[in-house]
Amino acid sequence: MKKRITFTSAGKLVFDVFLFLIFFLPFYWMVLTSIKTMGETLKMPPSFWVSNPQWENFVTAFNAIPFLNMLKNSLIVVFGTLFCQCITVIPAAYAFARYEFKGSKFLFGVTLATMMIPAQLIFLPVFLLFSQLGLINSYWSLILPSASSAFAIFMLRQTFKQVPEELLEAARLDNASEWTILRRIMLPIARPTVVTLALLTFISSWNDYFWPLVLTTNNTVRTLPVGIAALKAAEGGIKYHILMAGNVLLVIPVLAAFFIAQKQVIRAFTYMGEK
Amino acid sequence: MYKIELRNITKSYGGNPPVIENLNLGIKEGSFTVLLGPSGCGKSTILRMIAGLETVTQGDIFMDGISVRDTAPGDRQIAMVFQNYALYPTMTVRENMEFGLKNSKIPKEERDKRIQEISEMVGLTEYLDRKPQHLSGGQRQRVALARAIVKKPAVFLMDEPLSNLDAKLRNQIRTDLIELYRKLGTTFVYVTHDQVEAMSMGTDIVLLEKGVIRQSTTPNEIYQHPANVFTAKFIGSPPMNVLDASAFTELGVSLPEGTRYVGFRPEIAMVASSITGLTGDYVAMEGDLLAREMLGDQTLYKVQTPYGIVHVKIFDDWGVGYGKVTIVVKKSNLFFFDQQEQAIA
Repeated sequence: MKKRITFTSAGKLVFDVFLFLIFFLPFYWMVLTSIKTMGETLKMPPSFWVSNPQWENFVTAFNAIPFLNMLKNSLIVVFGTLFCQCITVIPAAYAFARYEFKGSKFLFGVTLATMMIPAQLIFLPVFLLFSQLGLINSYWSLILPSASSAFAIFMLRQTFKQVPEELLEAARLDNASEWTILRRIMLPIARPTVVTLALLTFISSWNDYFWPLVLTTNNTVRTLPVGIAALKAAEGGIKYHILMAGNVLLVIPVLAAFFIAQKQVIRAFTYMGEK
Repeated sequence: MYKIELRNITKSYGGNPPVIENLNLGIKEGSFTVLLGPSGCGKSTILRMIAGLETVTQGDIFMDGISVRDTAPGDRQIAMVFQNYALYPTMTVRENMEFGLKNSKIPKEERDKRIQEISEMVGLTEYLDRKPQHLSGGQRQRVALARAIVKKPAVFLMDEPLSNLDAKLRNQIRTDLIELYRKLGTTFVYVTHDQVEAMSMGTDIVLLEKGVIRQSTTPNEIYQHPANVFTAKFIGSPPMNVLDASAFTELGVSLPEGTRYVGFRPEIAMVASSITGLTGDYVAMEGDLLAREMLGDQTLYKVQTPYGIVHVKIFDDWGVGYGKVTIVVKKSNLFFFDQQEQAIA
């Protein structure tokens, strides 16, 4: 059977290709640059293919900074942040979704309002506070600023709110404590949302450049993005191929996390759309 | 002795006028008590107060003579079946049944034994490892029942458990419920707006309207001796014909003192094209046939009489044609109601 290509389907195809290129090209350019020689990176017109890939660029990038130490720092900060968000976000979201308590609306409003304050506005007071507490150059200084997330509280609250009240009543009749209800009923239902939020936190925490730059001054606690950025500062101009090799190394864990969580993320977004 | 007793119960939400005011109700041990009434009559609220899912504004609830006002829902020895089943979607059928038992710290061996026994009883053995979303409506209904039975509660509470099923399945589960009740012998409290469900399953019917008990008695009694016009019209299908007393005075029927309304059931009336040779035991009224519904085993007639619309249900159809018809009712089958719509004995 022959497929007829209609005008609209052709238009859709062109649009899809366009979207794909928008997302794919920068990524392709990063990977491509990371395996070029320095000469090739500066060539005009630029080449879109590399016949002789320079794999040793990755080794150079790896050796130019205390990579393993920074990787360890990044992992500690990311998982520390995830852990802190779990213990702050989940109970808060459950309380906002399911309890009527005095001032709950006001507190929820305040929580949402914090989303509107840009980090650049509060970094100075946070820095002063942390320096007085002696937290500068510690892991805590990198974990605490994002130990909770108003966005995550909001999203999880919406998901919790969608759970039918009868389900909770059934659980109460089944002699379940609030903790059991949260752990055995609410969280399993909200699983796609939780995984998605964890992934978003993972990405933003992993990629965070601003807070480590502000709150740390030495490499013992600095995270990978700061280290990768430092590759720029090498002598003799910016070595784009080394910088991009570093970026590829930086991005790999994010991609891996996304591929693992992909199914849940898609389910979370379709679930939000349903209702 | 009453298994459950509600004494002077008042329920209001916020500052609004109460939906239930000073209600007294006793539910007998081992009875299948049906709380029946139109939507908004407070029947579900009463059930939820018994379950402990709603607080009691005033008054007290007793189970086995002990106040449960301050007892948590989980400690009341009850199990509830919800209209939408409220199955835990992320758990399998087995886990759904096991959840309450685990929370009550029942040992693993006992749990497995009970789940095995009950799933066989309701025919769910092969579905134990499925999640609710992979079950049909009827199967979900059975899981909801199984989850309640497995707890071995002292009282079953059911909130319109059949209303999400199609008519055929509803009839089937209705008989299943009667069997189940007879097998378990525990107290059932069942909420419905469907008088057929109430009449067919209940041993006791509590008919409610706007938070007030209109009549509380056995199905037979409520059908044979409705206490008021509301009850008379709610029980039976089509509802009882209730006409102004003046119609019957005009037709030469001598009425008891104070009669304001006279009623008769569609199924005891007769309809014919013409009637001759009536004895004094009968009363006849003429009218125009508006509609005729042939239902197989029965035929429904809707007749416009000078006194109002009258429904008649006939089991042996004589094929009465459209046009002028006569309705005949035996005088001893008439019900009399006074100015306050209460039955005159």
